[in-house]
Amino acid sequence: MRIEWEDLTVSVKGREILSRVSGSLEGGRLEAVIGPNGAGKSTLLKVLAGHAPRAKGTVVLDGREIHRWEAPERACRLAYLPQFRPVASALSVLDLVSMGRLSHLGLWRPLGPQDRTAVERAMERLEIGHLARRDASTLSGGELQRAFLARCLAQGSPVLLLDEPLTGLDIGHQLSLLSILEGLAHEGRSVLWSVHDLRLAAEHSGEAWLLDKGKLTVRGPAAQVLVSPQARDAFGVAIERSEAGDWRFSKATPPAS
Amino acid sequence: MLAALLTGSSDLSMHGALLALFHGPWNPGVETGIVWQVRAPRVVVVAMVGAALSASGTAFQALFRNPMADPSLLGIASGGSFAAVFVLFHLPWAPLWVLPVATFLGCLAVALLLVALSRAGGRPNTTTTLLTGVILGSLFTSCTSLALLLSDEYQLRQLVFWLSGGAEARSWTHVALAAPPILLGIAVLLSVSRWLDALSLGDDHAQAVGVPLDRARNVVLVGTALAVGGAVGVCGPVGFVGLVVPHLCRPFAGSSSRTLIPVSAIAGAALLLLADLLSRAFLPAGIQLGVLTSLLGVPFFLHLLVRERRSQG
Repeated sequence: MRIEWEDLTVSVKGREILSRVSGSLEGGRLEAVIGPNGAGKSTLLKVLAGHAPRAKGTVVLDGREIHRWEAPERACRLAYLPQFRPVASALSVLDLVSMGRLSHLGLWRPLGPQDRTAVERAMERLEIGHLARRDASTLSGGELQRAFLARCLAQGSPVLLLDEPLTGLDIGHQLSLLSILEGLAHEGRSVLWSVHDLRLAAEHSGEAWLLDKGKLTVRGPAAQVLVSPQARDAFGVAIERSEAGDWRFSKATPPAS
Repeated sequence: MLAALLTGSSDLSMHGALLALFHGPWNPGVETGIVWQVRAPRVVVVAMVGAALSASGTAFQALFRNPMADPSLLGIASGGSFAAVFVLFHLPWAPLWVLPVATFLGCLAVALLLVALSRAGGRPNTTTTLLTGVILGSLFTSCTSLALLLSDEYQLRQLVFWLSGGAEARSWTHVALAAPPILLGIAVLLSVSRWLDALSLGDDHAQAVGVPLDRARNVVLVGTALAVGGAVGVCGPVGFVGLVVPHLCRPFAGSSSRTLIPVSAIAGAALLLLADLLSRAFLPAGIQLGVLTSLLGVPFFLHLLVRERRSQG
């Protein structure tokens, strides 16, 4: 399924958080959004998910403008993981993951075998099956993160927008999540994720989008984006790759002016 | 419930009351009259009010993502009370059904005002919502006090009595008036329990799983206003039930609204009946139900505040 966006601009109190960003994502692609803090990564994903009605520009999901979809229809096509993960709710992990099926079930229909399979499979893939009965408010940060990711997977949508899905995960779970994401792209889904770990972005994403101060500066194969001069400017860090394929990051010396 | 039917100010033997109960309301006799015409409607009213307040308290705690949200605390019930006082004061000749309609509208108005105000100027947060609600509540309480100041001796007694919340002398007419809004309100809240669960995770997550935010919020507010409006209309304001009961139920019913709403409703009905029974059995006549629930509810609320701070810090 295809999602495309054109001229997205978001201003808050006169400051442009996102300015004239355009692009598209096809089925079967896993692409990363990278950029320094405050570059507009989360805002971009939020706008693409249709959660920012006041943004200027258009987002077209599956041939229809994003705000013209009814909420459940949209959720069936697009799963979005917001960056902020609340912890106060005392729902069980199973309830939380099953929530991903809400758009398929509506308000009253009980979970069918198909829904149960989707929920169980998602929990299995994120290795939280043993937490099913636990109260979500007692989970650790990483466990909660995985529960929310399982919710996104259970939703079964062809487009996934994940805002920093790696946050709070230990390296083992980071790698298994990345292989899950690669698997999703392989199944033909479109996955756009934001990430701070540039190494992981370079090694696991096909393409990367570099955002800097609300503008899309480079888009291309992740490794090339990282060594681009724009990336150096955006992060203020010199990024090199050795012949052996190791990444080296060093604080850039400001250009002599 | 049985205990409540069997207890009362007139001296009936337990045997006589039971007999009257099982002979049905059509049997002639004084016992029958007392049990079926005086006590039974009171019991039904109290149970419905308890259920209405608890169910809407549960819904509010999910909607506002706050364990301390409650339609009484957030001023919804005060809006209803003010509407009721207005009706009692200005339209004493109005037919009986005007009162529940007015309380519903009063509750709904405050609910909408609360949401509008707490969303003005950005993302609503817990503190501003609670504060807004409490302030709206005191505003309407002040309006009510003003109405009291302006009323004459006779009206004053009547209003104060009504405002302290109670189920004295409620008849089947009252049951018939309160049942539709209360049952409808609870049914509405129950039917959107999946939305409530999603909303309890925050707007972003709710929207991400396909909850139409504005519609969901409005449906919850209308459902709450129906239930609370019905309750206030028949019983006056009875505080703290909606705050306390969901917390008592959560440990064994879980947090999922699908189970928590019905469990709270039943527990709320039982608890309020118990409170009513206690007040009839042990307290001097005329101490109203609402006074008792506030006396019990305030310490619980303080306990909750302390526990909340401990868990945060």
